[in-house]
Amino acid sequence: MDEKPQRFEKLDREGIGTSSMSRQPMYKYLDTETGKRTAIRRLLLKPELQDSFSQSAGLPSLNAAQEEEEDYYGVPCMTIREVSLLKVMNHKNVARLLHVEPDNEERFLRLYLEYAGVDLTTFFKENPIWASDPKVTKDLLKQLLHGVAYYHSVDAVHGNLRPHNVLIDIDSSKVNVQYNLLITNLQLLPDTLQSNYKAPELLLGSKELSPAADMFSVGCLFFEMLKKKPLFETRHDQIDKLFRLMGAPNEDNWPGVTQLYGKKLSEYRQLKPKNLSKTLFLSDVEPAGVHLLSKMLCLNPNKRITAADALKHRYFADVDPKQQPKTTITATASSSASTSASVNP
Amino acid sequence: DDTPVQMTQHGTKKRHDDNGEFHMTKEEFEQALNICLEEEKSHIPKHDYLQYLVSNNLNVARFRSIQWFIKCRSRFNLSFGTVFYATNYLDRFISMNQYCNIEWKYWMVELLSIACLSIASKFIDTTTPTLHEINQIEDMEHLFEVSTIQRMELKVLEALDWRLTCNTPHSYVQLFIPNLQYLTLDHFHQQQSI
Repeated sequence: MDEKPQRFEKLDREGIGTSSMSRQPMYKYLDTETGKRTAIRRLLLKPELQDSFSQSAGLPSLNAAQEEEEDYYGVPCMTIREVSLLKVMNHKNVARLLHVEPDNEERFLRLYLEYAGVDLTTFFKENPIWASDPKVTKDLLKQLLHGVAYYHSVDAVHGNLRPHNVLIDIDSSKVNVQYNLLITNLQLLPDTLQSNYKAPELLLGSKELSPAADMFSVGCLFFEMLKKKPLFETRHDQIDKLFRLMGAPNEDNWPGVTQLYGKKLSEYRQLKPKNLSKTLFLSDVEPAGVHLLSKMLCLNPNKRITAADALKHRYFADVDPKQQPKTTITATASSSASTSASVNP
Repeated sequence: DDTPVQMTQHGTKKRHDDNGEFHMTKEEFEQALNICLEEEKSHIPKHDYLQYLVSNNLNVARFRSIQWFIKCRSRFNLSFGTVFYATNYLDRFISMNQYCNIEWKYWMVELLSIACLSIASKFIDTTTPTLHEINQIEDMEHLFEVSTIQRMELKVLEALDWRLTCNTPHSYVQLFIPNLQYLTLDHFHQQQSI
């Protein structure tokens, strides 16, 4: 079936990952209406229903026997909420939803999400010099926090922050190379596969996504920006590694934790927090950065730093144009969209 | 508590107290009211909608739909907001097809009503009835297959451009009640002149 003249043209042969749902490679597309690049995320529409609608050509059959399962809710609740939220989201660090359409058989919904640049991991690989510039790291983290803070300001959570969902667009046409960071949400992996960026409360069994859980993921991403490798490489011993690093949670640092997850914690009781800077080999990172990282990785979700507060952290003090009237333009890439004002005399 | 998820699009964060009411200063109230009025323009039916309803004999059908929404609300213990949201979706959908020469049949309005209620409930409520349960509520003359209802849901969502947050009389009341002290007649005169 030929649907309308193709609004979206496939851009390159190389995929940008694998769809969690179909296991097929995902591609980038060009939106011929807006000129923007997009990537498709699919949301299932009917997990339960099989080919039951093939004969109905749009007209309802009167008093039709109810053959389908009786516990069917139609378009899933989370799909409705998520798409309508994405529709109203409007922030320069959050990927826009350009178009929504169901597939021909109405089995799933295609979300055409704005795509720019490359994902974080690819950015590190392709631009090792820029990526190791502390100023670039700081700028990227700041933009990431702005995007996450926006999510939280509209009472939404991202829930799936990981390098694949952080896109970086490099604009080198300016005097100062500019990086634009975009948060997207392309792959929502099934719970069992999802992974190395999860907050401890989720690893311990909580099902509730929260702004605090997003912030833990931001902490993992921050580490990755600093060291170009994931904080937790494998997912099976993540909780073990985390407690060896941050110490085991107890009633002092996380009131109520024993009641919530007591059984799972017994074997870790002895673990004490380590010095992050030493243990994670962060001696080349300024102390404020290590401090901010420790606040993001805080075990107790209630005490973990919020995105809005993180933006006020002293780690960012020197990128505030007011506090830094003169910027020397160095040979290496520096500056950012948010501080570009400081370049002007 | 039937307060819908408040997705404030302009960063004006609403604060809830223990009763779920919004506490604001006068300035915040004025700002919130202006935002509501401004936003409302993007999700209301066309100006000659009422005329269209009457000339197509849809006003009675619409009235029955709303009665049915109210019945569903109490039967499934849905929020009041759901009734208003469903009505808004119904009006917008009919209004969008005003110039398409659709010959409305009663079953079409019924199917549309089910889809609107189902969408509104899934958008707002914490627990929602199944399509089957919704369709079983009396006063519906037709029974629809769930796949047909879902197809209608998609049609409605697409027509509404998935923009489901809307300002209804109910949301104005929610805004006004805790802030009555700020409300003056001027507010209404101002709006009339726009």
